Amino acid sequence: MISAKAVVRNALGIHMLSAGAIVETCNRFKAKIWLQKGKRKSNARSILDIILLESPPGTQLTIEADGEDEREALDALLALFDRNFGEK
Amino acid sequence: MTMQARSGVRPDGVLGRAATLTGQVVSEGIAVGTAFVLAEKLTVPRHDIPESEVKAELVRFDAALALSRDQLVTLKKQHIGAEQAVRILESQLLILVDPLFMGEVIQRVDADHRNAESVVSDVVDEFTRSFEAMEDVYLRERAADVQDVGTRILRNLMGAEFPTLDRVGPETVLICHQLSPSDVAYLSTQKVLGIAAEVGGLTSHAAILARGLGIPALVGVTEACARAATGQIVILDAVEGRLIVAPTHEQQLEYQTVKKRLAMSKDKLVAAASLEARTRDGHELAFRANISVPAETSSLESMGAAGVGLFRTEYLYMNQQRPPTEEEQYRAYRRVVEAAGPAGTIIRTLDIGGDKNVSYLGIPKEANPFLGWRSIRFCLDTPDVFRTQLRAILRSSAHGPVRVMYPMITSIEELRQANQHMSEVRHELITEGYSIAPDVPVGVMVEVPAAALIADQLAAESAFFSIGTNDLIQFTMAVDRTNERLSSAFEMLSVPVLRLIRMVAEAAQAARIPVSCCGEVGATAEGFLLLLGLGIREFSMNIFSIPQLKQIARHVEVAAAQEIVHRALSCATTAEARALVQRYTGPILAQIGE
Repeated sequence: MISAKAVVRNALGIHMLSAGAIVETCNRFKAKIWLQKGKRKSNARSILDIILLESPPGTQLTIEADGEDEREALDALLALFDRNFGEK
Repeated sequence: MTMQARSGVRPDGVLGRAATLTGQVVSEGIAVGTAFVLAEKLTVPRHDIPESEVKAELVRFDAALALSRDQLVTLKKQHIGAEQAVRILESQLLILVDPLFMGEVIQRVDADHRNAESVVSDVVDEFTRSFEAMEDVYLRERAADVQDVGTRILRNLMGAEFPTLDRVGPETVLICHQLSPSDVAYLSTQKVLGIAAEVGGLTSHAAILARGLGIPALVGVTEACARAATGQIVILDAVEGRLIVAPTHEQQLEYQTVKKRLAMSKDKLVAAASLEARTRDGHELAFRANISVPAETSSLESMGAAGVGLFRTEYLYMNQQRPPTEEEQYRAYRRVVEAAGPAGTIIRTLDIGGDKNVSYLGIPKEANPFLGWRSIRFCLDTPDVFRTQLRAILRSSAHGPVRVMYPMITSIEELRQANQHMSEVRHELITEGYSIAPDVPVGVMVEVPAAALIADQLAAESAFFSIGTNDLIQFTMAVDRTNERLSSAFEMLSVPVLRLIRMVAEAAQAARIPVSCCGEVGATAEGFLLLLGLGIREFSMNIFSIPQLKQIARHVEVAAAQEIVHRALSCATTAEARALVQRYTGPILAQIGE
């Protein structure tokens, strides 16, 4: 299992669209993936679980990936956070 | 369906009877049309299933999911080009395959031996409650998407018909339990004259959408779906907050007239907006606009605003990851200053905290945010943020008359400290070679009783006062204005508030400095009259209220307002004071309405 930290930097924070982008990215990989904020952990393939984490702009999250393609999955997610989920 | 539509017979065969229902106005206007009742509530069957049928039940659930998916994909295809609708539908497709949601349903059908409908309904309710417990209003209202998906699955499980907006005819008043997000897209293309929803609030999808499209709308119309039937004539009165089912012929004629008059008086008011606002006894008044974003200045001229009386700068700081740079702020201020022109602009320095928080500024969660580290207190403690803003404001003064005001001042020390920064920043800018106006008057926003009580001392060191009535009422009456249980105590017409305003106005007059009022109470006929009587001659309010208030101003006399205030100040109860004021404003409002 590997993990990395990421900060939410898009204007609205994680809402429906950004959560959807996370789920779609995860679905390209086989690894199990979680997002963690403080003690709370969410299944990164569940749009509802991600939204219920409540991550406004500035939130720091830990991304965890576990499985044969964990490295690729983690990199893809970090890139997605860096791109502000494709938003402005 | 068409038979039902013509006869006004409900699906259960009962003819909708004449009735008048009430609701909350979220988008003003009047509509007379044919009812279309959408999405009556589903009755979910609830029963146990024998263990032997669990497998078949899961297959049935699976089939409902597949059907739901096909429907959403088809809907999405139909909406290519309508970006907002496509996004909503894409989110719903992801909810439909959400492992947490679907896993929970499968697990419970399997373990509890319950029918799929009851489990789906329970799980949707649980997610709805979790969503509604979130802090972010926008995310809270996404519970509607979860419910929308849940209802779709339920309908498919039950083989129930989908009432869709496709069948909405012309001249329709839409009646629904709650306008669902997947219905949103239809409204812009269909001829919907009005909307009545059983649930929803001012920030609900239905409300925002209706206001944006200029469609009259009511929410909170209890039992609307049960009391009205598709095809019946209804009157939606989104002025008084009424839905009249099966009105009489006389009522219909009456409302057609009311509707015309409403449209005419709106046109007339706007046409007269550019005329000056002089009272009947010859006092010249100024009406300025309260704005939050530069784009709002586009209506200044058509609404007859004499410049900007309050530019709330905090919105530049919101929805960002860092404070706006000096250049970003300068561009925004310059845009407003240029749009306001010679009439001038009053820029309020950052008023953050309280109910407006910005995560990156590091203001901690406080037990009493309205009494906390906010506004000018925050600015004086973080000089980098404050001075960047002052630099940008001073630079914008090269493009038109600018005044600056500090919010939440409670002492002379705070005013002096802020002014010290101001003069240092002015000096810096001149040294750096910027051209700035030689005179940028600095005033105090009087919104805390402490400031009102030392108004004479503050007046000696201020160029002007602006009274912020929202906070002044809140702090004087010790009433949190966001607390619904106390909202009736949030009252402009109370004697303590009037007395404080009188102190401020008198101190300003004695020191010969201008005093204005920039709260929304000045945008009501009663509040306006009292402020006028207390000596206020300059008003600032939301841009769309200005035409009406200017019209009221032309019908009043300052002498009468003074007499009314004099008597109101000695009223024992607020109800008495209100009755006193309304005896004068009532006939004026009636006259303007004609």
